[in-house]
Amino acid sequence: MKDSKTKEASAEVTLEELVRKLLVMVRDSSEKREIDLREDIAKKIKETEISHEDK
Amino acid sequence: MKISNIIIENFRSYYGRHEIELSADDAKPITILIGSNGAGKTTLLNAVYWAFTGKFKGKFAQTSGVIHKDAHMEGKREATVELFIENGSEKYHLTRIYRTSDSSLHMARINDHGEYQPMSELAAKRLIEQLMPERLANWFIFEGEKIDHMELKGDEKLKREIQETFGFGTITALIGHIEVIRKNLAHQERKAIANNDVTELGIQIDATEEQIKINKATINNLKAQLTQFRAESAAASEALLRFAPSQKLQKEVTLFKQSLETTESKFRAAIRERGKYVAQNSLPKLLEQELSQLINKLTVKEDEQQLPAPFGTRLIEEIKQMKQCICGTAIHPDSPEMHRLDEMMRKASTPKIGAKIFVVRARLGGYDSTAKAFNKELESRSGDIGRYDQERNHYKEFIKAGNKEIADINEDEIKEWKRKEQTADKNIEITNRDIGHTENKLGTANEQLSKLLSEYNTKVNQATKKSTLTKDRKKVELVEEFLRIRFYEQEKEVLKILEGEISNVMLQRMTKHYSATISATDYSVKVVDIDSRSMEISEGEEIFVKFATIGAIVGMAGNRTTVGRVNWLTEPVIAPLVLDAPFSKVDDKYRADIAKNLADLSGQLIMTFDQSKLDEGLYSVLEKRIGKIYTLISRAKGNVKDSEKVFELRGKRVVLNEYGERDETRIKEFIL
Repeated sequence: MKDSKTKEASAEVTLEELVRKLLVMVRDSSEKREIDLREDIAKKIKETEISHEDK
Repeated sequence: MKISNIIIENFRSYYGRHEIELSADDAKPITILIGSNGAGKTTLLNAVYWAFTGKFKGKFAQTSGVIHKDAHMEGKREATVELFIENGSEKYHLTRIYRTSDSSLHMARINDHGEYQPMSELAAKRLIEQLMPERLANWFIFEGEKIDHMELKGDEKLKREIQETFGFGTITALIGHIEVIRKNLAHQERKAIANNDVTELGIQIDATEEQIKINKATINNLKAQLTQFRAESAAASEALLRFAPSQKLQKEVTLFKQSLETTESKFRAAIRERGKYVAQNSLPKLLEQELSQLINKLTVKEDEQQLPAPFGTRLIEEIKQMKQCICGTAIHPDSPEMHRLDEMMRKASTPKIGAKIFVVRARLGGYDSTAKAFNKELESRSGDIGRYDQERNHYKEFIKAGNKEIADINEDEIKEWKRKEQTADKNIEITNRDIGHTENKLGTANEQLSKLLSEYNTKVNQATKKSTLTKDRKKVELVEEFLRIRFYEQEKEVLKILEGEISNVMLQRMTKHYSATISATDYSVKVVDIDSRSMEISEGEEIFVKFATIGAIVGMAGNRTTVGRVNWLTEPVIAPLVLDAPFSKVDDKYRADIAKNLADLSGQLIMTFDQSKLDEGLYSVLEKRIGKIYTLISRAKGNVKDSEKVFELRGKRVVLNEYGERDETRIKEFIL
């Protein structure tokens, strides 16, 4: 039980980490269609668990 | 990113294949190329620029002679530039081939075993976009002659380029994308909730956000216009200072104009603040009468909640049990005294209500104090505004009188410059006023938006219990808000360090105690003296400041600055500085200092010099940081002529012009 909790906590990222990941997505997207990039960004935000202290 | 080797083949004056190994060593980041006029220094710079961008600069835009003429005669139909690039631990080989019909780009990753792994054109372009974006290539690869074109007085292009170098473009692009995502989610949410209030609020939010965007764009446009008008006014003032009859008067007018602009800005800010104060506090003022009555009623209520001294709940309980008061009087059940004690206990048993009454009364008390202080505060704020108004009218009169005197001087050229200056000043005044109005509108719209958003969230929470859409929208909103704040902080941090770095160089290397300030709005760099007064500097000093700015920007991007390090959100562009005849416009006394500063701050520095420019003075300053020196030998077709062009350093001598079978450039390493 304790182990699964630790695992869950480590999957969480801070807002700063999430934003840095999103910026890399934008930077590497020069040939991507805008609509696809937005979809990827939206997906990433929705899927990411933001760590509690940042909320 | 560093360039370790350049290979150039049949490209303009370079016949055949030539390789230059550049110094990519952190301790010795400088490579110097020496050549006389027309030897191929600028060609080399253009070769690097073209390899990265696929475009030719300035006079090189003419593509007729890209392939060396003799090579072309011999049937060669290609000119090639190859670059070996190191980016951290990654190594790449970039080849750009020019053909009369077309050009092509080839790139390969070089793995640890030295094998070449070709990349697709798309991947190559994407990588170049990161290493040396086309819009920044002019920044890293430039001719010293063009330093004049760099504008420190708030140039939109320079601001954009600085932002791009520091990766701000990526941040603003992400903010834009997240904003669209958030709006889409909000629309879906409204549709799902199907509640009229929520829909109506959503429409109002969209409209207000649109209004904010328009206001921001208007302010930016007006500020760009203001920069233009300021430049026109400054140019006219400067011209008027050159004429002896108008010189003294113009000096006074210029000083009053500076004071006027400062006072005007204080005047506008004071009006804005007063408006805000009235908007926030006029309601308590209107309710002042009612507030007093309400507070009185609450005080009575609060008193009633308390037991009169010396009674406490325990004492009353005891009196009731013993049926005797502390004064000795007997208290019988069902007597008026006993009823009075019951009543007192009932009121005192509701402490929560008492506390609530206390909080409400205290809050109303706060509003009441605001209402009572309102007139005095308003009077004081209006007094400030009046004083600023008087002050600015005062300056206006002085300026008017000075202008009239100058205009009366019977010289056509003076009259013409004065007219130009006054037109520009009028435009500055109108534009400043328009900026003020728009800023007011923006402030109101921002307040309105935050009210609407809070109302919207309340309504959504009432209408739905945490739907996935609401959760997603709130999460996106959180990321957007964080990113905006983080970006604002990053920009502030960058400008502060940039300012410190430029000032540091100025304080260390300039004879006067000058330092720099950078405007957060237009990134204009101003020089101030030890008392923080804005200073007019000479042309030589201005070029010094420009190089200090270039050094500071490149140094910051490479995290090499001395005054502080930035915690970058995105990787800045770190590219070598390739400077063609960098000091052609620089005063001799500043050359060594500028060179040393650039060498300290850039990760790699490639400079070309005319043979006379790298003298002992400059060399001794840079000696420890120079990795390689090459001479570009200009060979001309025909018989030997008498005139020799010579490069000489520490007793070593190289003749830079030769004669032979064809016109061409040869490269020779210069080793001391």
